[in-house]
Amino acid sequence: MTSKSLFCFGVLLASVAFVLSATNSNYPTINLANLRRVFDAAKPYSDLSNAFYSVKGLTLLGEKFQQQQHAEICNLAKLKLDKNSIESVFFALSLARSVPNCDIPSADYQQTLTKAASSQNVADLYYYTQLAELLKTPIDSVKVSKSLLEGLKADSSVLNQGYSLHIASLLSEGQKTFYDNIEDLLEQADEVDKKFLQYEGGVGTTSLVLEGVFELSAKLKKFPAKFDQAKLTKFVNYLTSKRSPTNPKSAYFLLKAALKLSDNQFHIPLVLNRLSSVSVSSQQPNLLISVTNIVGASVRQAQFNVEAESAKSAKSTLLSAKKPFTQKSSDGTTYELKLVEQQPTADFYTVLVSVTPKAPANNDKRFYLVDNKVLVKVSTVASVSDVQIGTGDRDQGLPKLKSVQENQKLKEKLEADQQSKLYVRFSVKDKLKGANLEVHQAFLRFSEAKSGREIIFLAQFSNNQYSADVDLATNAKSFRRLSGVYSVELVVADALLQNPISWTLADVNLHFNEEPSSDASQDRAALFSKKPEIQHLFRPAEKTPPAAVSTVFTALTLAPLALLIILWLSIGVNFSKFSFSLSGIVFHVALAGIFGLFYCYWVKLNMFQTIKYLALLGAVAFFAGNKLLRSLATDSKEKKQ
Amino acid sequence: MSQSAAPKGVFAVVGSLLNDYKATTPKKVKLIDAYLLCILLTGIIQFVYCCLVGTYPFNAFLSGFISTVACFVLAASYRIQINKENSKLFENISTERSFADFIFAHVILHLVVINFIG
Repeated sequence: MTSKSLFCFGVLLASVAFVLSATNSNYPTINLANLRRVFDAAKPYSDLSNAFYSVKGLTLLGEKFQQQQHAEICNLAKLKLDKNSIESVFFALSLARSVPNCDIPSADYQQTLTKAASSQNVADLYYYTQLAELLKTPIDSVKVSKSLLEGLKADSSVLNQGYSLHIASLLSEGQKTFYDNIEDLLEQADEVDKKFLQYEGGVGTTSLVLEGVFELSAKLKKFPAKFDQAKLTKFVNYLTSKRSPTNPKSAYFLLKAALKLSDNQFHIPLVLNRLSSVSVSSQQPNLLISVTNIVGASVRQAQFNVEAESAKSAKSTLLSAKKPFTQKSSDGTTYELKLVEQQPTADFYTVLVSVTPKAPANNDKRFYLVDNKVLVKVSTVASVSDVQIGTGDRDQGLPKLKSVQENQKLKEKLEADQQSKLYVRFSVKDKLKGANLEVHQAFLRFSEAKSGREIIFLAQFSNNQYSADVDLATNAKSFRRLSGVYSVELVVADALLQNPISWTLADVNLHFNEEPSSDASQDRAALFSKKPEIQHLFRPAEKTPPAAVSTVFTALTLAPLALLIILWLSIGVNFSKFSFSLSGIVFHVALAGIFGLFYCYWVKLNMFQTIKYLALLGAVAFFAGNKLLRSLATDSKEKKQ
Repeated sequence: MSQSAAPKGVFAVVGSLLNDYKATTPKKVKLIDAYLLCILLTGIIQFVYCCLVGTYPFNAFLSGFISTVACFVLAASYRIQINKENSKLFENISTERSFADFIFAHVILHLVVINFIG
């Protein structure tokens, strides 16, 4: 139950909670100043593409160029124009058109333009249609849509599909096929953390596709049904999380998409942000929020009624009924609400906000909040009371404890040794409400001034009271058996407390026994001394039965042999057929020899010797036996005949 | 049937069986039967010893006991082969051939037994 690590963990947890609450209520918007910085970084212009995206981007942001810059841009366009590339022609002509008195002769690009009209490269077709739009030349819709289909067949990357939406939005017929592709294209978006939707190729491609969807839908005057607000929110989450694109091209497409999202006829996402501090209290009861579009600007299209639907935590309620915010600024971006009427219970509360357009636009369904939650916290002041401290023998229950005066240290010094237990009892109260509190962190900190050593114990909460029992016997190791005067400090803290408490309760003189003999040195000496010799111990033979028993049983096992002889004699054994031929004698001798050999094997020979003799005797016995039995057989046959 | 009639019947049956055995069994077979009986008794005595005194040394007990069992099996086989009633089964095996097999098997068996007895 000891440990600094627990303490650290608690601190970490609190800080994580804090960071979470901070990000939760600050929904990012697309920062136009950042985009402007990216566009500015491309200056001085050296190539057409960067120049185009930068100039166009800055123009969209409302920047006016100087006379001298006009001349530079015009020179660059003329100088870098590559007559054979439709992309280059598009950039150069767009730049030339964006400044006054800059003409590029049409002979320079007419051929490339005609050629690109029949190209089957999707990017070329995109530049061609953009250029035709710029030059106000008619586009052969049938031909272009056919080529575009071919081009998509060859390469249907997300980027090309995004281009195809832009191209289709400039055609006068045949857009339906490409419009129908939008649903497919939506399926191809990658979902990350269930929060973001994005396309391969990053923020530039995603923005390009999004803008294309809005352009083509505007042309056909209907928005794809499958592209709902939930999906759009995820795209917006992605775009707003990528606030600093690195190159002018991505920045340009992001800017275009952001502007499209803040003004179109289908969906306009709104962003909610808390401007006041996260904590509300009876002194500071107001919640200030801002409602803006995704570039952080006020919404020009409508005025809004902003209401708080509810404000709840897991346990208690701050607002039970709907309550309207009052508009705070004339541009309609900031709203205020008095959230706290009387002192509420300390907790984290989530405020749900709804936004509805005011008349005459109250049927306008375009506006919606990407995140309608605002997190606020009600903090409180805590007081620690009923503090009691004391020491006692660890085997004899709770001793009589001494009360500690508020914010004072116990005058007398407590004494404790290794057989003692230190007891601390206290309760934490909400000063404003009077109720007992359970806080995140309640610790006892022992610190010794000389060694600078600190040991921390957790206090347990039960029955509305905190208790900490420190058993000095089991925790002697945590103290490293360092005797001395330790000061005992009570630490109480919580994210919802305005006054974290640190209160030195008492000094306690701890006596630890010396380590039960520091025999480490003895052990070391023993390690190198001569060890007793190890004697091999044979396994003791098992007890054999007494000799008499063995003898009796030997006789008993031999008895059947005697019986056998008796039986044989009574039956009438005879040796009438015994032939005293050579083979007969040899056979019987050899057989007896074999069994004699076995006896020798049992007594003294080894297997190899035995096998050797056996082979010899066996051969003799075999041949002799063969001959003897053969003669016996022929004898008996003759008799029969 | 009375209670005392049963044991009498049993004795009568056993008696007639014995008489029959004595009358019809060839002398050679009788000799083998005597041998079988002795071996059976030896095995039983060994087993009784083992139960009463203990199995130590176990390998000696095993080799002795297995030797009696194997001897019994070999003798029984020999008896089957030389029995005239079974001659049709072993037409091309002469009694001498059976005896040679019996001896050979015994030589091998006892080599193993002696090896194992320790």
